[in-house]
Amino acid sequence: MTMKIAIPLFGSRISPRFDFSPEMLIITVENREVVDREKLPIAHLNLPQRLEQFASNGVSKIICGGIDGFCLEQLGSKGIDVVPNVVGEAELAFDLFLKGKLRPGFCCESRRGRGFCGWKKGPPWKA
Amino acid sequence: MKGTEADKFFNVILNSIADGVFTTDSEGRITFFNKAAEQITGFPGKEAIGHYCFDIFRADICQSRCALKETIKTKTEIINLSVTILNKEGRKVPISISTAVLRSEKGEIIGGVETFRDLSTIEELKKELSEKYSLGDIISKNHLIHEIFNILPHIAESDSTVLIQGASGTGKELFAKAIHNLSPRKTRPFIKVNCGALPDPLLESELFGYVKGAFTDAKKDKPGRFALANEGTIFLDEVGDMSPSLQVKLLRVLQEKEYEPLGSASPRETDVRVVAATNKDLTKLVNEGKFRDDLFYRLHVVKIDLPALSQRREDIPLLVDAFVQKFNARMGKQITGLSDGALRLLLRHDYPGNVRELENIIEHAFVLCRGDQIDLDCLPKELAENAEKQSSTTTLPVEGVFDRAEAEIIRNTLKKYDGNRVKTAKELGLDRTTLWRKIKKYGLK
Repeated sequence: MTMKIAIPLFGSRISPRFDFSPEMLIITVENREVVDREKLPIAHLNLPQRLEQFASNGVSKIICGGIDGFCLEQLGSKGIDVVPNVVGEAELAFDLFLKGKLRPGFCCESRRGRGFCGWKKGPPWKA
Repeated sequence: MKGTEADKFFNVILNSIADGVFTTDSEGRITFFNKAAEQITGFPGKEAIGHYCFDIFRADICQSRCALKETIKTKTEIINLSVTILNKEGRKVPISISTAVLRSEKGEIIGGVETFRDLSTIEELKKELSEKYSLGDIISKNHLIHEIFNILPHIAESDSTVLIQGASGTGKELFAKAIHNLSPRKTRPFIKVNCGALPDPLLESELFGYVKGAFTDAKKDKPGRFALANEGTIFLDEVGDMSPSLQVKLLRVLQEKEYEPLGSASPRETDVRVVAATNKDLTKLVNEGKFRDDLFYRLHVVKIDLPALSQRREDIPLLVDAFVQKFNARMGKQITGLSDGALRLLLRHDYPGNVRELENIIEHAFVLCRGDQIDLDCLPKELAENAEKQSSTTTLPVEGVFDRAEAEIIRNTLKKYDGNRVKTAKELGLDRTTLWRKIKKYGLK
């Protein structure tokens, strides 16, 4: 089964604000294997265009940082699942997502001695 | 004071002030987060400390021009800069921030300090003072409508198709007009078509026009609404009532930006922004196969759900004032407003017809009102009757069921003891006077 997962980025990290991310990473996964990765610049897009961008790229899951109720509702009405309030490195968050361990509000840092600080909220998100 | 004592002392001070305060190290990681900061952002200190400030603070400037970074770089304080943060619950909070550098005892820069003040209340008051409860002809202080107000300029600015869903009378057309008036197309036409009001062939010729000879009475070319709305906005009301064959034609306009007038063999190009509205649940219609899913997805690039008036009762006084002003101007009257009783009655009504129903009620009152204030007797009689019915139906069923059950139990127990009230009261665990009172209440013998 093919699935496209989008992560709004701020450098290598998950963008703290969904509506201000300068670019997004789209990862295509097939049977839990990554088959494609693409970075799209979205800094020039306004909010409705951003929302449309996800749907037109066939994205079905979004892992993001802070997101307001309006965007959540718009994405939900397009059938896109959102794992909100995730903090930290995008790649770490994506790995956790693939393992089925990512939760909304999860903190994905790999700082020495701290590991995942894990603001554990909500049930694990199924990949 | 010793170091640790001084720290404790400062912590107590910082935690007792109403402004949010946080400090960062030179990397931008939070090292201190006071109680007010916790309250304003929604993040407890233990979750915030150690994290990059942009991950916690989530202000609209964090990713483009971080105020703390700028202060550390230029060594210049920033004072009272207005920004908006996204709190932990995902709600936008207006705040004002001030920043300064943090230096060690030796004077070296070791990080930054940011103080911030919640401006939500001030913004609310400002709105009230400057009557910013309106956008175009839409008036509201409801938070759901204000979320739409906030996003409407962005929606208008884009050229995306918009789907407005809401019950009849919720103001779908007003929102469509507001989108048009805020958009770059505002100087071009805004054309409205009610897709539910016309039979299929007529609607097709209305939308796309016809050419001479297309049918018996077509003596000359007639442009359709899409042609009239060129470079402007077309508002397709009741789009859920459109027939399947017209749905296909509309889909083509949205996908290929072209259409064919009735009787024409050559397609015409169109540059029109489509805003559609419906009072039906389009998702349900799609599931039932009554509405094309591809058209649905084309239409609801951006979706706006308008709440019913019963979900925004706080707007009733505002709307009443606006309608009173409107009808004063239209009918040349000097009515100052509503009496307390009349307003109370309006606040209790459920408004199945939403804002339009409220407007009609005020118009009705204007016709009947002879004084300078609308009183209860100027309002439609059904309102008072409905209110009475509602109050009786909302309280009585529960009581009714309970009372009936209680009366039945008492009647059976009395029968069991041949009407002996002492034994009945003992069996039911009631005091004799209570039993007597209940027998009287339910009319038992």
